Formats: sequence, structure tokens, C-alpha cells
Amino acid sequence: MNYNRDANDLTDNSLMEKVKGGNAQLLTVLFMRYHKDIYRFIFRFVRHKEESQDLLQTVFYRVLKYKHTYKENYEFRTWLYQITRNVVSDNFKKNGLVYYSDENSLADKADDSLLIDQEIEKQQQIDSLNLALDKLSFNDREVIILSRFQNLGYVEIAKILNSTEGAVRVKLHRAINELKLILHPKSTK
Amino acid sequence: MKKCDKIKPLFFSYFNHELSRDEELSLETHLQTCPDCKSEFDTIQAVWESLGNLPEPPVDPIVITQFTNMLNSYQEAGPRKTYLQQLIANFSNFFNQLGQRHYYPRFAYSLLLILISFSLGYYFSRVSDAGGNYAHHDKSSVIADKADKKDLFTLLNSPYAPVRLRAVAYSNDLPSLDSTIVYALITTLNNDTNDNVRLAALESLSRLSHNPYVRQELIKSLTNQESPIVQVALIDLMLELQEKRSIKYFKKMLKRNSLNSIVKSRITETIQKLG
Repeated sequence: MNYNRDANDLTDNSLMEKVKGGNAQLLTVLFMRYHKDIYRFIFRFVRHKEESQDLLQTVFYRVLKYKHTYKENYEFRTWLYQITRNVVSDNFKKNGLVYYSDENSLADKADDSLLIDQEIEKQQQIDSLNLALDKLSFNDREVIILSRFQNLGYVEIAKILNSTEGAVRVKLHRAINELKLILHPKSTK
Repeated sequence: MKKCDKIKPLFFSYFNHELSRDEELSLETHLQTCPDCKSEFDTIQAVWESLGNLPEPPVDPIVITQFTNMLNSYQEAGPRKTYLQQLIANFSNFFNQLGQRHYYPRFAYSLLLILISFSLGYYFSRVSDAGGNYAHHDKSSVIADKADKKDLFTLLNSPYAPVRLRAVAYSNDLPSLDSTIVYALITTLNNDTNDNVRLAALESLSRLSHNPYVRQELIKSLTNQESPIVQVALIDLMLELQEKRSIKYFKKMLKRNSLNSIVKSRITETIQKLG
């Protein structure tokens, strides 16, 4: 029974080493540590609940499938984000850039007469921001999601994107400028 | 212009308070003297902050069940090491260590043979037990050693109440439960002959009460319980969960003549609090 408590004390990397060694059950501990962050990362891209849930399982399935490629010196979280990025990117290649209707968007709440003006305004801002994010290229969207919503440092983002810290900052600056232009088309860069 | 190009990528680090005091000062001074950068800084800051206002997507706990199912099917489909293979792997490890210490290979080889014979014996005795009868083993050690779903089912169906109790308690230690174990726990809650086992199952399931299916089964279980102690525990749980759907079942229970008087007053109280 101490098995689970002990496993919870292990670092990500040593858990992944054990998973690689054949103890697939220990992936559960890693899943419990990261599924929320990974789900939210995916959801920011696809903004569809069931599809995000499917892709989340695909990510962890790929961890198992490609566990032999995991190296001791890899940072597990970085590796996991790289896999997630590939899963989301494959999904985009398959389905293209889709403009989603958010389950919580204003259109779906239109009948709710209880919405007060302030809430309507807030929801309008959220809707327009989500729509603007949808219009960005995959790479621009990705760098914004990683840096604004995932609480990752630029050094780690650079590793995930196979890039350098300086290049990530420049990409982010460009991506936010693109977003700004979509939100306020009359402004200049 | 070159200065501007150097300053701009630092905006985000500034928003995240990642710059040193000197870098911050240099950026602020530049913004005071360069209207172009200041204007860009303001708009970018507005966009950056509005992104921060986007609500965090909720994560449905069903993803945990989906993960367990995925893992189970992966393990069933993938190459699994048998108990014997694991033992041999352990022994060969031991054998290697002996080799490094320059022991006589012949001694190590004999030892390996003896160990393999023992493990084969254990392996086959285990295979013959696969029908689910653990009568020959010490039950508590089986629970402790085998983190195995099949074992859990076997133990939940054991004729001995203490074994079933340990099995339910063990389910609490699993990092996540798949739907088949949840179903087994619900069956235990509704059908076990022992009050303590049913109470333990209730405790395990109450941890999963955020799951709509489990919640529904907990409510339905109200009318399946005969023992006052389990009834009271369930009633208290309904109050804790503020589960208004339970009122319909409480009313059904009140119609029973055999209902214990303490339970009756507990139900009446709870209906008032929920209503």
C-alpha cells in the first residue's frame, strides 16, 4: 500500500524512467500531475470539450507508445509539451484551422435574460478575444498560449519549441502585434 | 531605432516582473523619451492583460476514467512481462552483481537454478489459483503485494467480511478508479451483507461524488439500505452534497413502517435543511 505514496514522492523523470522500464501503471502519477495543464493547453487551441478530451488521451497514449525514445537527461514536462504540441499540430493538419463556437459564447446565452449589461460586455470581450486568437496562425497562437496561459518560463518555452530564448521573445512580440491588429484593425504595428 | 528594437522584446518580461531593477529602469526611461515605443507598450499591455482575463477552461474529471481505460487497454494489448519473466530479470540482475564481485560463476549458476525452480513452483501455484481462490495465501499480504485490478475484484467477492473490508480500503489507495471498479463498489454498497463493508464502500464512493453517475447511484442507494447506520451515513452525505434530488427517495423511505425512529427524524431534519 505504500507503493502509491512512494510513487508520489518520485520526480517526474524517475517516474518516466520506470514507465519506460515497463511499469506503465506509474504513468497514472504523471497523468495526475499534468493532465489539467495539458488539457487546458489543448483546449485553448481547439476550444471543444470532447475533442480536447480525446486529444488529451492521445497525448498520454503517445507517451506510452514512444516511451523508448525518452532519455534520462530529458526534462519530462518539456518532453510532454513537445508531444502535446505534435498531437495538436497533427490535429490541425487533419482538420485545418477551424473556427469554433465556444460552448459559453454569448450567442448561446442570448436567451438568458438574467445577464446584466456588465456581464454581457465581459462576455463580448471574451468572445472577440477568442475569435481573434482563432484567426492567428498556429505558431503565433502557440507561443501566446505557452507564455500567457501555461506559466512556463521563456527558457522552457524555447526548449519546447526547439528555439532560443531571444527568438521566443521576438516571436511572442510579433504574435501579440498580430493579435492587436486583428482586435484593432486600424492600429499600426 | 536600434535601442527600440532591443527594448520591445523586454515588454513581456516587464509584465511578468522578470526584469532586474536596472533593466526595468532602462525600459521605463526609454518609454518616457520615445512616444512610439510608449504607444506600442500601452496597446500591447492592454492585449496582454485582456488575455489574462480569459476564464480558465474547466477540466471534467471524466478524463481520469478515460485515462484509466486507455491505460488498461494499452496494458492488455501491449507485451506484458509475466511474473516469471520479472523474477528472472531480477535474478539476472543479482547474478550480474555477483559476477562483478568475482564470485565463482558456477556458484552463481547453481543459485540461479535453485531460484528459478522456486519461482517456477510459485508461478504454477499462482496459475492454479487464477480461478480466484486465494485460500492458500495470507490474504493481507496478497492485498499489499498485488496492485492488480483482478485481485481487487476477487477480494471484493471474498466470503470473509474482513477481506472485503480491506479490499474496499485498498481501492482508496489507487490513484484513480476505472468504471469497472466503481461499479463493483456500488454493487458492494447495495448488496454486501456486512454493515461495515457497506459503510467502507460508501466512504470510498463519497470521494467520487463529483462524478454524476456515482452521485446518481448514491442517491438511488438510499432505498436499498436496511441498516440504520448505513442509512444515517447516506443521509448525512446527501446533506453535505446539498443533493435536493434525494428528497424524493427520503419520502419513499418515510413510508416504510419498519424505518428506525432515529433515521426517521434524521430524514425529516434533512428534508427541511435541503428544502
